[in-house]
Amino acid sequence: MALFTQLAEARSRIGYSQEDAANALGVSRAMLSYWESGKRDPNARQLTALAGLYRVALDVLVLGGDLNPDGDVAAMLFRGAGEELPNDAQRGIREWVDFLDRYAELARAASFDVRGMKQSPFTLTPGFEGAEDARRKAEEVRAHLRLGLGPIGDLDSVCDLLGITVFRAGLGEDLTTTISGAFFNHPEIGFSLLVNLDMTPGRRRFTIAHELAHALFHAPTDRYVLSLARKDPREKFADTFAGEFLMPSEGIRRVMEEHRIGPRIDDAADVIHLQRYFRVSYVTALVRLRRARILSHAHYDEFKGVRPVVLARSLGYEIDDEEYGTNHDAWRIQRFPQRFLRLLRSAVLRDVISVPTAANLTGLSIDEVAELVSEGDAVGELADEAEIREFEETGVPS
Amino acid sequence: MSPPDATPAVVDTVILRYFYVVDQAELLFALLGEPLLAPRVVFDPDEEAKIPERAMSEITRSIFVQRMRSNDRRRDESERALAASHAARLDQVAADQAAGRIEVADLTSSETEIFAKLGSRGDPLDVGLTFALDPGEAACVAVAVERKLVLATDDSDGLKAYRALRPKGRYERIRKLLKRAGESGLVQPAEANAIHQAMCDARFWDKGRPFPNS
Repeated sequence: MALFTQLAEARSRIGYSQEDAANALGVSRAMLSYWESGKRDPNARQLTALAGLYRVALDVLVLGGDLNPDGDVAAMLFRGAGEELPNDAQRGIREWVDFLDRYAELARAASFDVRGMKQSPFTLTPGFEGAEDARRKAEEVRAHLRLGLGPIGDLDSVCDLLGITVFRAGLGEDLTTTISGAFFNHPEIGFSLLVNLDMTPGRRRFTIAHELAHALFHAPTDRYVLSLARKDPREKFADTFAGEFLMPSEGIRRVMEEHRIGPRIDDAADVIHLQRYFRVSYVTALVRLRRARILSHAHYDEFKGVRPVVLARSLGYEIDDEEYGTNHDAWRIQRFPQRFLRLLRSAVLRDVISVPTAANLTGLSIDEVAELVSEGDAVGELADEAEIREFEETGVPS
Repeated sequence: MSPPDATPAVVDTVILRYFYVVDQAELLFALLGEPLLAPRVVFDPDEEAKIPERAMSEITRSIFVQRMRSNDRRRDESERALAASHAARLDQVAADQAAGRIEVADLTSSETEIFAKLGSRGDPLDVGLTFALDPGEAACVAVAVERKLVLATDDSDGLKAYRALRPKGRYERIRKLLKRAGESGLVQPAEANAIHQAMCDARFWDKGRPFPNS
């Protein structure tokens, strides 16, 4: 198969127009058209970019080969969505599936046992999938993890503890057409959650909890779930679970009592206090409080018109930069699960993989992988000596 | 100045990156001769001005990442200043290319085939690779093999492929180059060690030293 034919087919396979692809590569549409008609050939740099954009192996693109091999998991996931997903979502899903395959490849090469969860320790009995059941299941999972009734600090660590991999990718901002997240039971890595980075931090946390519900309760029947805006009973279950898991009814009551809030809330500032305490989005907090009938219908409607970030700032809360919009630069490395980054670092340090190869495997730059495996910079702040001395006095064996 | 046997060298991103960030490009030219060859995936002077990151050559991407770090408020001032200095030094690659000291290598069809195979999973060339090579490295190996040039690299995976495809082919690594610089009098051994240390401070991963006893 000639290169130009492969280029055109690979592009149409991911649903890109010539203009979409040209923009993503920083070339003119005319140049892309020349490549696809065989009038000109892309150079090695451009071939690399094309293969990356189309998520096709270089040798398949350049030398010919099947662009739609059997077992194309990403294509299976798209079909499972039941409707056409936007380009961003399709690219993000391909990125996620590729990541999981490469994670498995690296784990095999490094003889590393990922210990991914492949079977949930929880069960969901058919017929017990209503809202009250979802709330009970959230309590059950919280109890299993000994999380008590308070806020959950780091959801990624909770998932890591369970052996569930969380990966983030930009899937698009318009949640009426794209997905907020997805769950997939990878044959080697086990349960994995995908989270749309193009959402607010609170919404991302909600998505992790929502996908966690799919992983823990729907995995026996569904190898994968894509979370679209449309709400079937399974999605409603996951939503209710997520709300209760992040902001348990009993926990809300307890905090309100201790802070002398309520029993009914009539000030939006109190919604903000609870939202910040439980580290959820403002909308999640509003809905949870309305569901618990702590907010009247009238106040619920009124508070929907509040600007939560502005109000939180005026109340003295620290505002995360990302509440104003996603900073994709901050997520270049963070979007990978910590367990994977630890494996990558150890594999480089043990010469299982070189730094440039590790960069290629992850899509990171050589600079970023070099930083990941180094023991620290020649510059930058050292740990505070006075603090070290102070804490050593609490008993550090010599 | 040409190296002892005057065989031109093809350089990968790692070699260029570390010699440039420690401001030792002149030493690199003195050791490997001029012009140095770099495939377009390593450095491409014809990149569009506002190119998306995924389409950047590796040196341009390195400059991009360093600039990003220099503007990253989560890093302290000294880190940001260092990143800005690295970016400025890497900018010099373009000037040296324009001056004819670095020549861009366009791949022939046979080189493109090797490049594509080395850059793909599954080790299609059966050279003992576990993972696909980094594209810059794959291109350097392809050029060095096909044109019988010296391969200058510090990628152990790239070297594994190169040795399999050209068992007697000459190659250079950073520590080996610095050792030669010290032995030939281009720099003093202590200076070679200092340059190596500066590279390690810039996160070069080599654990040895050119002159362990100096």
